[in-house]
Amino acid sequence: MEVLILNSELDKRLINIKQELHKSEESFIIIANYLKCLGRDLFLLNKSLEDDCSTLSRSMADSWLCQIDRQLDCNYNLISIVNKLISISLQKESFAEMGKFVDKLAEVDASILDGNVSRSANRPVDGLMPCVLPDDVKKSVTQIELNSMTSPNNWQGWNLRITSHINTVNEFVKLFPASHSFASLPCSLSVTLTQINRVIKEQSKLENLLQILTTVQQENDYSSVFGMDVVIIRQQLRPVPILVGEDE
Amino acid sequence: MLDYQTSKIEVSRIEKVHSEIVGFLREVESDFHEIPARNLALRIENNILQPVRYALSVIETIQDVGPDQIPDVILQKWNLSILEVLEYGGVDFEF
Repeated sequence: MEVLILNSELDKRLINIKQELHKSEESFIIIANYLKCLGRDLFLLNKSLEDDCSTLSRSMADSWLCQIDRQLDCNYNLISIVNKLISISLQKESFAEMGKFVDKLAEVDASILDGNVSRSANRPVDGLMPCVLPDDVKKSVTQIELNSMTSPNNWQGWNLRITSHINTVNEFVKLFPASHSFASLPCSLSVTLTQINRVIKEQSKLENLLQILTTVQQENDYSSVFGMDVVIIRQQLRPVPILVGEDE
Repeated sequence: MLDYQTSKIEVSRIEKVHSEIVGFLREVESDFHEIPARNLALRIENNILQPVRYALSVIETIQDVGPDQIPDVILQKWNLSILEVLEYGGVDFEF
């Protein structure tokens, strides 16, 4: 009778672990999809701006994506272990041969219980998200994915896009505790994206001023007075990043 | 940051003074003084009035667009032009 109760309790825990691992898998896939969008935008910006900051950001986004892939690998590994243990438990066979796998799951289980108790980030375990991905973050990632179907046609549009990236990355910063294996990546990415946005804002200002100085106005015709300034602005202004095929 | 409104008042005053001088020099009618007066008027026009009027246009543009909306590279150049006008009244002559 005691064995049966124990098995039933174990089944519940294993099913709970499996559910949490699937939630983590979904979260990791959302983050990976987001990073692919960010990587694409950074590639376009890097090609246009040719600055160190966007190069560095591309490298960091790529590194984070690799880390997410590694987390997904661990996650799939843990899911297959938990599935195996559930089937063994259902068949009421012995766990003796599965000792080292049970140890792995014990860490995952402890981390999940941590989160349930403290309602904050769990202790970091590879393959498991330290906390639940908030719905707002999921929505903002979906919006960014939809927006990335097209690229902005001026620097002001790029400024808005990078601002939404910064807001999303800042949300990710809150999700991963400092002890997590890639906690520093979202932080560093947020800093470099802010720097890129400063450059983009300058480009946006150049774009606006060029339009003002080159548009012939009835009252204030600046074109003759600011000829040299227009030359300087044109030298400083970088081409707006456009996806291949959109320039037609 | 420069006080553009105060600068505009001062630059407008400089422009008015030099415009009046140029007007006076152009009206000189004397066989002996006419050519030197016109030459001097032209030099004032090119070396003083032109930078002063440019600075005035710059101030008006900054006020229209807003200093925060002007790119740093242009704002620095424009501020320098205004300061040069306020300090030397146009071009800094080296004697």
